[in-house]
Amino acid sequence: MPPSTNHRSYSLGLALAFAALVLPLGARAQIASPFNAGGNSGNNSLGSSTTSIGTPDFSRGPVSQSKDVTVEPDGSLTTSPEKLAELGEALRSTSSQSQAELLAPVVGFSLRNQETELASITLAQGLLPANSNPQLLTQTTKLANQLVDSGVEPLKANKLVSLLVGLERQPNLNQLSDAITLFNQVIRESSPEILNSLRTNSAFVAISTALRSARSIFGS
Amino acid sequence: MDPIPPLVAIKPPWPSPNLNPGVPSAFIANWGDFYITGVAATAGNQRPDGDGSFVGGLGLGSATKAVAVEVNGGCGSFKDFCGNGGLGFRIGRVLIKKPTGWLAFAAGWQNAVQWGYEGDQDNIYSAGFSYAFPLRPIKSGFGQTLQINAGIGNSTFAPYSATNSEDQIGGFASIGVELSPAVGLSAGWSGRGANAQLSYSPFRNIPMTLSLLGADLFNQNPAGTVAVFSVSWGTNYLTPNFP
Repeated sequence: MPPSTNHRSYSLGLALAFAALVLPLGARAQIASPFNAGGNSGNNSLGSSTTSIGTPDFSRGPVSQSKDVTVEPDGSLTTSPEKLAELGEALRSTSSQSQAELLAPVVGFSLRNQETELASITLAQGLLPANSNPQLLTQTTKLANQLVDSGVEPLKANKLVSLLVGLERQPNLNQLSDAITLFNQVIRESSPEILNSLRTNSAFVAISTALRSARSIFGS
Repeated sequence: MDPIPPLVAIKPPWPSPNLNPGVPSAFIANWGDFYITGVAATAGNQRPDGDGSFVGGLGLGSATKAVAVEVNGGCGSFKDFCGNGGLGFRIGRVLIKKPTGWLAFAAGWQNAVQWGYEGDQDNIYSAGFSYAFPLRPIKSGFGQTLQINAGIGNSTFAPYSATNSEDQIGGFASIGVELSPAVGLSAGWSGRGANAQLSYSPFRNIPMTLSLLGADLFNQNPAGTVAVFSVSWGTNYLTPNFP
């Protein structure tokens, strides 16, 4: 068959298919089965509209794991003033004097009000504010280096330590939650050799003790 | 060394309650989506007894990347041992997908293939838009979706006509809102009558939705007002939990 005939047959087929799709085929029955009950209530013109597929989900978000912690509409985590005060106490009451000496200057550090917003952003990126207190810089660098010595990735070590800065003076629990999440990530992603080293790492043990103590004041 | 119990956890969201009261949504099944819905309707003016039916389907393609095609089909009557039924197709595209709202367009062809002893049923075409957006911040964990559907179609999407129903054109529209992550309330015009629906997703981890629909509330059609109860299961087999 010549190509031109082939082309005509193809075009004719397309035209017929289009006509069958678009043009009404005359009056037909509207049955009274449950398919059409009440008019489009259960028929297959609705398809997935009768299921969860037919409605987008805008409800993916964090769910509080404690009766004492509330997820606010903007996603921030809040608790009562009493619990916030307890949090400060818990962070200061580490198990040994040496642990307290390691962490107290960091978690108790107070950012001046005008620096708070910028510092919060910078801390969230795992960095310290450029104009940080020299003593704070020394202490955080010391803590982070100790973690790196045990094999923790430098970026994670710096970020974990930066999340501890000013932790006992926070207006909400966002930073504590982020610190716990990152701490758990370090545990999950570290090799058995690194974990063994961390068990005897005074900085990591101090951080672990402080975070566990802070978490313990919030119920499940 | 044990992890510390987190303060918050990201849990799979509740399956969305159904916000489409007998009105098609333009958010259709994509590749990986499949569903089945069982329907039971009370007796009406044209049917002395209650009856049931089911519809199932799956999606092909992606409505966000290009277009999705949904293939669906089912039987028309449990009482008649599925002696009649048909297949339909829908094609859809998500036009806007932002955290502030989704807009989609879809067109459908019902009864493209049909079988049974009740004779030829109308070829039913429809096309419409759906817009859904959160009333609350998404980060709250409950976005509270509000969804609006609107479109046109022929046959059962048009006011009742005793003859030549296939040529009748009508419009449909509905509005629905989530009252909680698992409960939705919706109402609208199916093209043939006024509908209202209460829907409930009873389990967070099971993609099941129960819906109770009051159809043709003002008794404007020969079939009359009926109550329709449906149980649907719709999920994506590409993910372990409901997306």
